[in-house]
Amino acid sequence: MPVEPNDILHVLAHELRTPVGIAHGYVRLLLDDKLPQEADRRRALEQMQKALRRLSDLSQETTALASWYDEGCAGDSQCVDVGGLVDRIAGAAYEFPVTVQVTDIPEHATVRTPDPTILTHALISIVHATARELRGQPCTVLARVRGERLEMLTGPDHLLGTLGDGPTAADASPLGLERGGLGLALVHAAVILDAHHAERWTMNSSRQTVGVRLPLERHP
Amino acid sequence: MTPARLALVDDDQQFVEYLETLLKSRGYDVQPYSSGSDLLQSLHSDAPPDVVLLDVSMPGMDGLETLKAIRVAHPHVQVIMLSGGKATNTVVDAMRQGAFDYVVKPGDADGVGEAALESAIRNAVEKTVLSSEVARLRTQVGQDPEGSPFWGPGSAMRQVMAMVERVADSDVGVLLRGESGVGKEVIARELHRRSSRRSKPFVKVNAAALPSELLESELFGHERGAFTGAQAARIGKFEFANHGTLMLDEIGEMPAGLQAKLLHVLQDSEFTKLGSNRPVTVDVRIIAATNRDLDAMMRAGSFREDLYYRLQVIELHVPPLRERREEIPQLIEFFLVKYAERYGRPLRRPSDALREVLLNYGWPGNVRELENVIKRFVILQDEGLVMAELKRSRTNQESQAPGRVTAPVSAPAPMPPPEPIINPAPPPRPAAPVVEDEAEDTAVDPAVPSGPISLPELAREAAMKAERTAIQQALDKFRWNRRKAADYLGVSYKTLLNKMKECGISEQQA
Repeated sequence: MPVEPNDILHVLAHELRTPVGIAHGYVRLLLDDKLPQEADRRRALEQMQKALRRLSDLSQETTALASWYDEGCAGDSQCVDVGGLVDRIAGAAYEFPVTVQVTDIPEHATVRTPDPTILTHALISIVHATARELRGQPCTVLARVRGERLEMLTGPDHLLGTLGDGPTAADASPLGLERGGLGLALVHAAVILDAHHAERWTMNSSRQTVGVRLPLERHP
Repeated sequence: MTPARLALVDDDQQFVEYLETLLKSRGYDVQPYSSGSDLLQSLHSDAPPDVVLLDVSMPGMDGLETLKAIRVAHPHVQVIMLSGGKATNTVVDAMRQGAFDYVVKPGDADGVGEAALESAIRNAVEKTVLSSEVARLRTQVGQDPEGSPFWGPGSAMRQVMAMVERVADSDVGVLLRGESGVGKEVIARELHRRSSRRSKPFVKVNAAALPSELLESELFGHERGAFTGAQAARIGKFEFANHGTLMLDEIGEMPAGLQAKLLHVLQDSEFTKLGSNRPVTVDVRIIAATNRDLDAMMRAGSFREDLYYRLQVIELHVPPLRERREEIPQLIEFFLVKYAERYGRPLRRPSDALREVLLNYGWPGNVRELENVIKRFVILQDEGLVMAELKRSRTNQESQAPGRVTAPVSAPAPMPPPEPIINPAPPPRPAAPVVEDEAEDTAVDPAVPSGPISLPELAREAAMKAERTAIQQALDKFRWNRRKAADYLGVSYKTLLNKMKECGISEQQA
């Protein structure tokens, strides 16, 4: 199910609302003299600054998304080594504990992409969003080549076994994008993966497992 | 007034900090949590908050799942759902699952969202307060075994009641002395009812009912892990009775270690829970009661003198029933009406013979014993049984204390005359009333065996007789429709059939 403009607007509206609300709230507290302590007033200003930074990040993400729509899809594509791509995912810094297991990736397997960096970021965003759902439980990433696709399964270790059948499994559903606090990262990742003709899905109702399949340009 | 306690659950730390600042500036006590599971974990060990503000969209356990778990664990806690928008399905789901309200997170320039949230919180807090007040009043009504008290016309009780009238609306401690069953708890409740604390809790603790360690926990509460088995924090009776009255019954049984802690509370109005260093301040009026001779205990060193003088700012001696016999006729009438109404029995008054026995009996168990006798009389409607029971009690008393027919069988040793602190010394004890044997003998129910019989056996027989009568009446009333009779009697159909079999009731007999 491709990302629709409405999906993007929905997530954007949700993400905009919180920092704007926080900034308004602190302004009112200050104007109404509800924070008599100097330390509290200073803390309020710091929090307003954080909210503004969050808005600024969101603005940059929106710009990047717009650029992708304008140029990214149409850029010159190149072949990227799958092993290197997986290494970059494994080496990324995550806010929550993540273990990457790599199996069955033959040499010389490649994917075609107009922008290797953006593709890598998209896959990292998927891992990050899944790990965030687990809230401290270790998140495992299983990367492997199956048939003509690179398959990346993320979730708690004990659930990964159930992911083997991919989107044909009875409880699979489209990857939801409306996860608060992630900015547009997940939307952006979904748009990029769609442009690569990748499949993406989630596998249980608590959204703790996510699967992505990316077509290979060349497979031995 | 204690600020309302709010739990705020949202994974967005910036939003949590802002809302915490806002709500604290409005006087609330706010505890933030970054996930539903964090909140649920804390609910296992801490007292639940008054209201939970719960974000709908959270990683891991989302708002609706958390709401479900809260409703199961703490159905009385009010939950307000917070969301970035009002998705109809989510609102409907949340309200169906018992959310108190569903509010869009504040985010507008004019503060309309904040006002809506504050209004929802105020309403939820009000509901929590009202619910707990209703529960408390229900408990209090349920715990008040006496209902409306009855005060006899005798001069001894008139003096007691005059003193109750004078001291009720003050905060001074009162020490009630008197034998078991004279009505000390009734007096304590009356002191509370006539005081300005009447809308606050009346809490009774019996110091003799629990071992020392449990009594300390019962009175002062404990923190989680304070001792083996303390799996959750718990507030004690002192906190529960805050702004109200705490009756410490059988204070003479309180262990020495606890006497010291109690003295500290009486002096400083504060204490610490077991396993805690944090002092808790309370405002509680203490009414202590005892049937023990505290003066002798002080002399023997088993009761602290300083505690005694703290407790007995006002001391009231409630005289035994044998010293206020003029009240017996009216007490009989009072209990007859009370239990005839309660148990739906005809208001049958005792015969002259039984009345004579009742008036002359020693009443070692005091008003409580008289009440129980009248209760049995009303339920069983069997004079012979009551007469026989009184006769047996009297015989037992005589055999255990020759020459003292009035001495209670199981009552404590008689106290010396009380210190005349408030009360005048009680009138001299009247000569022991002697029950006329002839009068009793002529009224003995021929159905009751004249030989020895155990009290439990007698009680079983009496209960079965009462059940048989009630079942028979119900079956007659509903023309042997057993299902309707079971409903009427408040038992299951199966229980009724079993009881009929036990009592030997069958349709053929009818």
